[in-house]
Amino acid sequence: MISSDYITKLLHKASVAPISLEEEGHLGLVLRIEVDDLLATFKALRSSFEQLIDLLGADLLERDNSIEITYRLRSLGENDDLVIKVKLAPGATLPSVTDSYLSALLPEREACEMFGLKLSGHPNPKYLLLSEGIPPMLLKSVPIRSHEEAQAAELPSDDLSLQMLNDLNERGIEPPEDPDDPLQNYLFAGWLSPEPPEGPLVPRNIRRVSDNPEALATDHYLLQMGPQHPSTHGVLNVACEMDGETIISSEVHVGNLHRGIEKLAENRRYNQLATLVDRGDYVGGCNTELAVALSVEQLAGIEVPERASWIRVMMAEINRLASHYIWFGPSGLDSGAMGIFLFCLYDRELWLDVLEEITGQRMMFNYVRPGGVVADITPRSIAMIEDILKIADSRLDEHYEALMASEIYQQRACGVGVVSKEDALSLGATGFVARASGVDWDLRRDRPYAAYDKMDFDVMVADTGDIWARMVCRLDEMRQSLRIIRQCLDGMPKGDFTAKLPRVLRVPEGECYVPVESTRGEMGVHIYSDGTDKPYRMRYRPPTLYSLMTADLTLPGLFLADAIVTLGSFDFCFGEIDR
Amino acid sequence: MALDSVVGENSIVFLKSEQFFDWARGRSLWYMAFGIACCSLEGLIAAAGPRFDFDRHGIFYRGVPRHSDVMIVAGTVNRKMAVIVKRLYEMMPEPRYVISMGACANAGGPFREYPNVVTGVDKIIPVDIYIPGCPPRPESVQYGFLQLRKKINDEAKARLDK
Repeated sequence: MISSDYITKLLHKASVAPISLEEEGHLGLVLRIEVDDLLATFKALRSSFEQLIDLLGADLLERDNSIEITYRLRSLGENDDLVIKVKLAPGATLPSVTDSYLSALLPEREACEMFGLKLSGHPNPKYLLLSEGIPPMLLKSVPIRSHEEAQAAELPSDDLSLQMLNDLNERGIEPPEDPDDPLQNYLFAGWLSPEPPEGPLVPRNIRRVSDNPEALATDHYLLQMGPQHPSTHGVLNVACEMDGETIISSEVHVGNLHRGIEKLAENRRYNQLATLVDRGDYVGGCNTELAVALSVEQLAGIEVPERASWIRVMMAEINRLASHYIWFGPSGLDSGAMGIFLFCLYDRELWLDVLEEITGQRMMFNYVRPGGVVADITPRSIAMIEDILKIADSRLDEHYEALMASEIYQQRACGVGVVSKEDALSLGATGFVARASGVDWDLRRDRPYAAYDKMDFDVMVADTGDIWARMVCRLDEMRQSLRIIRQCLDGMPKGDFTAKLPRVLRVPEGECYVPVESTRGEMGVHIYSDGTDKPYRMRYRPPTLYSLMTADLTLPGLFLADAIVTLGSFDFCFGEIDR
Repeated sequence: MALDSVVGENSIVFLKSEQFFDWARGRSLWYMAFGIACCSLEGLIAAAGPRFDFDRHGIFYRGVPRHSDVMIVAGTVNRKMAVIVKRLYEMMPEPRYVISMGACANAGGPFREYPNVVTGVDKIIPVDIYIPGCPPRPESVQYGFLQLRKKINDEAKARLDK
């Protein structure tokens, strides 16, 4: 535990006077500071907290005429979090903390565009998710559409889209000439800073070639990879500056799947949230539902029956397996191995049958709800799981033989796409990306939720941080999932599968953050409740947004063919990156 | 349909070239590997997998729009993506077909209230087949493809009868 005295001492040394520093409800230790002290505070706390886990804004204009930005810092050694809150006037400028924590690169842009703030000191202050003509969506004053308005909505004309396409070829290299012109800014979509920054627009830490033309052997060219590319695993767009086959600099563009899950969540009841977040992380839905359910339960003080917790753990692990198969197979496909893709899909269908038997759906389960789960597990599903468990371990050995035992694959994977431990920590990587780089951290073990404290499993940590390490870590995760499912079947307690709850769930006023170890890393749900039956604000921490920044850092210097294998090994899910 | 069973073995068949091309076209519908969101797991990935095996109908994925006959719009299209969807459609060689898969591509789905979302991909490009569901099962997509094949044959017939 990190004591408040220790933090006060650190702040005193940096001559920062906090507004308050105290335990606040479910959030734990909260430090409130003025905006002017923000950078000094982060500098002072940097050495004690390794990671900036998340950054979110909230519109408190009605309450105290301010936009509240919340930072969550984590000390892995002490296993403790510190929440830092600053309040800004509407339209004010947020100083960027990327000098202290690189993981703020993308989330800061998102927070500023969503709440209409300006951003200063950021190396690349573009809009992240929204496109032209869309107001800051998460402000409470901006309404969503009614059903009739949605049906009547029209798109910009064809001419407009043609001009936008021309602009598409330009982006990533040159800033638009006129930042106020919406046509030029279609994909830049304007600037968050008052003025476009000087110099080339590349993310920090990315090497830029010298300006001396004699030093260059070939002309550089811009290669747009994606959004339609079979190996980007979704609608990722990477603008790569290429020198022959080698990537010199790169920049990721996201937002092609932005569909307002956080905004729509403010208009859904607590019971209905699972429907939205399922479509966020669409490969591992049960884990996300679990994060939402746990946070609502924490706020409302709901006691979950023992059996429900065990079923939740079992379903989360089955879903983790199904999700990992959809990563393991295609990552073989990325490196040219077709067979493993079909093997993995075969195994995935077996687990999907189980999920379908229990939840009624192959995807989008809507199964884990506040209070428990929707339906009990059936005897038939138990028999199905038993059957699969008999062969699953040896099937994993076969998959290993089919892909990873091949020397060709090993040459592609070993020593390629290396993420150092410092980068992984500083960029906020969690889950298997961090573990492959030597960060010994698993929320299931270190902060057990549901019934994970009763399970016996190991956490695999590698230290090389390359593609091979990520493959090995995740393959071991699959074996551990099988172990956990076996324990769940053996030790499943009797009892109810859900708590008795009122039909309309009202949650007392408050704020909480509950993380779970989803299939791709730390998936956290931060809810502001105002005492009604709908959340005032729901933030959903996307683990792959942070691993996307990590991946972006590894690309320069790689061959294009290796870059595809590297991107595949991070297992992005664009539903959750763009939300 | 095997021709042998209709006309007998070792027969010589005379037909208009256009008729032959339309027959062949309906039996090798290659779709573009272009998954936008959740639906792509069911309609593109599971479809290519061993359980559903669309390959036996001559339906398989290609990585490039230039090689594809069918575009499955599998997911929510937003304002940013609309430009790219339109561009990809224009890159496909004719005759080209579009399958709008799932509630989002049909009409915006659960996200239609959000102003960034395009309510229906048919506002950008012409759509041949709509598949309902959120997400539709691979069987539905298979049925959609069979309907598309029927549509191609019917259109050919109507053109020849004229």
